[in-house]
Amino acid sequence: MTNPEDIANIEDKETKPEKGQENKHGTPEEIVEQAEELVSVVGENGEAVNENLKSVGQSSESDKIGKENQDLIQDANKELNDFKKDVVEIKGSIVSEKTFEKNKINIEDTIIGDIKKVNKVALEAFIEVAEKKDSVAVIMARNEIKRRREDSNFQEPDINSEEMAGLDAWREMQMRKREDRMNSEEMVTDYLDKGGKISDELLDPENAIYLNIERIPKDVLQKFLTVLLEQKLGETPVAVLVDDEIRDRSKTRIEELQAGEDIVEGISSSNEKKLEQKSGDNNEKQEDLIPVEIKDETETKEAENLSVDEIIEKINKGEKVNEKGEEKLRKEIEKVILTNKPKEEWTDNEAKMMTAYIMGIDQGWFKEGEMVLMEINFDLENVKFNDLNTEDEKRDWIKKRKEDAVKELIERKVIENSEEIDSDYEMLKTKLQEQIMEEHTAYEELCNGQSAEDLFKEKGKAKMKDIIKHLKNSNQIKLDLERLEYYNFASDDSNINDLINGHHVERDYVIRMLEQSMVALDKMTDLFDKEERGELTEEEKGVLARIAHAIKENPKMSILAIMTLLAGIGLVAVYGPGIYAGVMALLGEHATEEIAKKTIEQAVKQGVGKGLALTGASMAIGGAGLLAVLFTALNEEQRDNCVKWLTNKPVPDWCRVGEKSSS
Amino acid sequence: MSQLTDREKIEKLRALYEVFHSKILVILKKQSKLLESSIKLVDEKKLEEVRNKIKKS
Repeated sequence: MTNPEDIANIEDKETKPEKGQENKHGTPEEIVEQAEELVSVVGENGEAVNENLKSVGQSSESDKIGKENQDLIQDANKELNDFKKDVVEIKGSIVSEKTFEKNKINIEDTIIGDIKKVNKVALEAFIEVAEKKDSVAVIMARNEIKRRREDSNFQEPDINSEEMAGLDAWREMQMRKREDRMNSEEMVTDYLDKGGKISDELLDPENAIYLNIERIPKDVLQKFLTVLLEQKLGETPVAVLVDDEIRDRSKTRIEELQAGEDIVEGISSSNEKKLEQKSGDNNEKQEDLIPVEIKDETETKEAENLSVDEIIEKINKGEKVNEKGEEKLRKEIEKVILTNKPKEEWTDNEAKMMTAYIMGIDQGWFKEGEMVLMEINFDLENVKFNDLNTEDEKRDWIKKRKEDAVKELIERKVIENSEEIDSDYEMLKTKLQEQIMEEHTAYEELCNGQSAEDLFKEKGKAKMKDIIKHLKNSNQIKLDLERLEYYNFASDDSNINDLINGHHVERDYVIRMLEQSMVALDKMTDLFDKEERGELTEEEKGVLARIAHAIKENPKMSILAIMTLLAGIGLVAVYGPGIYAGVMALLGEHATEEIAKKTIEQAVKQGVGKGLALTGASMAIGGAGLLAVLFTALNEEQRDNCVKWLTNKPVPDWCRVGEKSSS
Repeated sequence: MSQLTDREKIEKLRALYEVFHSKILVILKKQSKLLESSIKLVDEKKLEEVRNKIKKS
């Protein structure tokens, strides 16, 4: 359930990535750009090496270093070229964000035009049809409509086009539906809460509002549309756009209901009244017409004869598949499950089957579907949650989760009663902040006016060791970590998505940061101990030297930055975002920014893992950097493989967001 | 490949980038060692020069 992408994209000018930013830095072009940037670091470092070698003159050793350096630069360039080729191959028909937006509109069409030109009957007909299909409708702002009309270059889309790009775009939109659900509900609720006034957001042409009609409770939707209709629609410039299938069905239905009334041409308000009157007069006729049952012709015996591919196709089109179809698809899925293959190893076809099956569950067609998915723990919680329709159901679901977490806290004697939780969390957080700041102040005093060399001489070193020891051995921190860990799950946060994921992301970052800081402190302590015993390896000497140089460059550098720098050399760096985000959560954005900047500066100056520093810290500074992309786009296994490949060590469980503390 | 959706393609691309990124990080790590060695050579040369100066004086 842990969704790493949430770590990122973690889009993080805040402590965690925000929705929608995930793709911002993830287009093929941007990824290639980042790759080039990374390789340019190799080039720069290579130049630095060559400069040094030039100044020392030729020798067997300098020749050797020079050759290795040249080889590394060549390797990096080769990797870059290979990667670019892969990008070209994979990219193929990838629809860029821009094209995606364009095509998304391409497969939609204005069904009703400006809402002021729409009468109630027509709109109700639209809703009626839209509710029959899991569909996304788009309510667009007046400015955008106006812009399109005034833009002579604006091409009316070819709605019959079935270009792959368009279809992919449509599928993409379908995949977003689950996420859209909450947004749509919130938007509509917000609209109603504000007395039916259309918000600036809705009117902003850059923010066409996507309403997933199917996802909005019927009563809310009806109320919303009623408000729209009852208000001064002349001043409420909204249009409803839907996909072509709904458009066609709706048009047919509207034609039936209107009996020839040309609603697309629009009607004046007086005509509207007349029309409503007319509608009233013809109630009986309307009722006859409203057997709104739009029979899904595909939901017939023919499902028995459909191939699995055809069943998938139907589901993707939003057409209902009956029990027979479900059974056929389920049997295929069970075969996949029996192979015990992780999701990542599914073939394209297997993944397609699973996606279609989940869509079927989402649609409410596959009653036993959850049981099947339970076997593979496939986003089941989300599926379950999405099946809850009312606010009450959702509240109950969350309440139960919270109660379970609190029960466990009490059983473990972490707390005595549930009332302690949230106030206690804040208290602990403050205490931890104070503790860290206190150590930081002591560290600053220690560094003040001292040269790096002095710091590593007896007096300074002893003080530094004291500080590190104090931090490391702080039982309070360990205890607090454990408590924070549980508070995480018992959070009273109102962010339902976080709760669904079973943890509070910000709190998780804090915990991970503290955990990783502990590891960094351990490493540092080990280094000092080894130094005393004269057991330092060349590499370890280098680590201490780097820290000394970093301090020399900036004596007031935060101890957290030192820890991060230190951690940047080892395994912890791979989970760097946790550190940065955790620091941010604890100390505030400004502090984090400073720390991250300084850390990078130092790391870059020392030529130590510039790539690591750049990528890790870019996110803390506010941009969504490479790690932002990686940690949001990759799954846990991919990250683990990466770590193993880099470090030849398994990833400790506690490193993972959502896992329990190691303390 | 053409059967993949855009999202799948982008995911695949990102996964490939991860591998690429990891490889470059390893190169950077190796390079940082070379940088250190080259700095060491520079330091040694300077030290040698100082020693020579002392000897001459």
